[in-house]
Amino acid sequence: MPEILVGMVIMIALGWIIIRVRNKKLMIQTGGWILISLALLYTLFVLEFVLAFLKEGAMQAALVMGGIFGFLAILVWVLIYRFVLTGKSKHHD
Amino acid sequence: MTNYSTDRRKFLKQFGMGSVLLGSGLAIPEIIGKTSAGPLVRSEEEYGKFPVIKMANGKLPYEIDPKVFKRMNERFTVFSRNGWDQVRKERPGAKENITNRNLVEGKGVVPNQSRLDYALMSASWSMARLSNSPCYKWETSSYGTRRMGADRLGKWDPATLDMGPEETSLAVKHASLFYGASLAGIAELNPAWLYSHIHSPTREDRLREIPFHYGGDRYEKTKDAWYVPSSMNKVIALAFEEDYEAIANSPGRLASAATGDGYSRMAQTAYKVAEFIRCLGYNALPAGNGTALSIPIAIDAGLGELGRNGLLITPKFGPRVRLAKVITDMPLVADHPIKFGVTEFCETCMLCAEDCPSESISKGSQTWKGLTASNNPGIHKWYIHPETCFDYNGFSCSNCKLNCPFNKPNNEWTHKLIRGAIKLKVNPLNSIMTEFDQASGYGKQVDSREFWKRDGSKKITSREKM
Repeated sequence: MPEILVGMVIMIALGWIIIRVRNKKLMIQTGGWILISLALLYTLFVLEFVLAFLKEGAMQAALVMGGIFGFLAILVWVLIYRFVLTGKSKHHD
Repeated sequence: MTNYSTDRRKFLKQFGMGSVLLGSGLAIPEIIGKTSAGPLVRSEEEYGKFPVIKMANGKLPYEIDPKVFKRMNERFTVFSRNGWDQVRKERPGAKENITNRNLVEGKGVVPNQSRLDYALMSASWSMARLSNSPCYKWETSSYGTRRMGADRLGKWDPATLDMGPEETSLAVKHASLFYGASLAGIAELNPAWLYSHIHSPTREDRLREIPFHYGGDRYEKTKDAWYVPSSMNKVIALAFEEDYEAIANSPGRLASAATGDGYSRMAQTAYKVAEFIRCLGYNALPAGNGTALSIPIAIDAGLGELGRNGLLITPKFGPRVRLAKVITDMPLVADHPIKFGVTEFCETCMLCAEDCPSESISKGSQTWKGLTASNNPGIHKWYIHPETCFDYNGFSCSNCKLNCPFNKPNNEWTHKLIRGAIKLKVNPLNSIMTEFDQASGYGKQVDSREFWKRDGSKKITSREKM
């Protein structure tokens, strides 16, 4: 069940990105899509990492690892939002 | 008819070997690379996903100085010295009754030393402490074994089942796992690991020792000497996993329960493995801590490497194992010793040395010299201080197992990922992993009340066995 939740979080994030790109008619270069893919993979890794520690019953490990790697994930997503997902639109009308 | 018979035998052999492999979980390790020391292999069942170097061409993961090294006299082990060495007899706390203090004076409710905890511990040791136990006897005392008539049938010939030494070795290891060992390996017996003398005190002579002769063809234990023939040149090393969550209670009483349970399983399984071999007509000498040094035998048999804490570090269970062995003349094929980065990791880690409450573990580099009379010098390693280790907390401390980063469950991919990183042997990376390990709360004592609240069927140790 927790694995399904992790999958859902990633799919929701991906869906949100696609909808945002379409609605805002954003022009995203290939490099931008590669960055987004890597960020999604990294987020999946962090969530699975935390989940593995929770399953083991190692609460402190989940908090510490989640804190360190999760902070990096948030930082990456803030940068992607700022520099990739608020880029130029295809039409300026 | 002859051809048909041969084919059937071949089929039976292949079917039998396939069953052995599947049943024992002894999957053939996958070769993933080559190193100068030997092939790099990986096997979830044997090595818990650690990439492991199987050392080839007789290479060993340790060095011996033949000018200094001598067979150890059992009388100098800390267990024996407690009985005759005046220094040990007069040590502070020698006459202190910790059990009385915790149970009677403490009314059985001292945290981590409660009556419930003591009950688990005491019963855990019960099989190992049976008086007149047959477990470590040199000859069979089983009616069933005698009834099989091994003396009349002679030695079993593996060729009758189209089996060679490789298949026989696999079958012996399979039997060892069947009887309850967590890991089993085979080594050529290095006589250097046999005690030179056996401590055999009498009421009148606490220092009495008898020589232990290896060689010739005599297999006999007399009042005045032990004789093991050179034909008994193989040894089966057995490792027994200790309960993960009970060790997590260290230095509480539950850690001693895990230790005691290990000792009881050692006695029972070594006895059964020896009986299995005797039923096949060969000699078998089972031993727990006695007869020979267990750790170097286990290293020779490829069960693990030596750690800073003076313990065998296995890939699958870390230092959380107890050891036994069975010396035999059965024709078996020895396993290869292994290396998986323990020495390099221990050089930078230091967690066991820093957290040892009795400061018994070295914080320095490996040396050739022992620290006390109970060390056996001439091997390049980290020597520990067995006396202070023994004296701490009534010998119920397992902190060096609890806080060792190799002591992790095998069921999560996170630890498997880190095991891959350890194999890279990069010192700064090892230091970072040690910092993360501590920050993550590993190595902290789990209160025994927490242990008792947990569902035993969902224990990490149980899950590992599934």
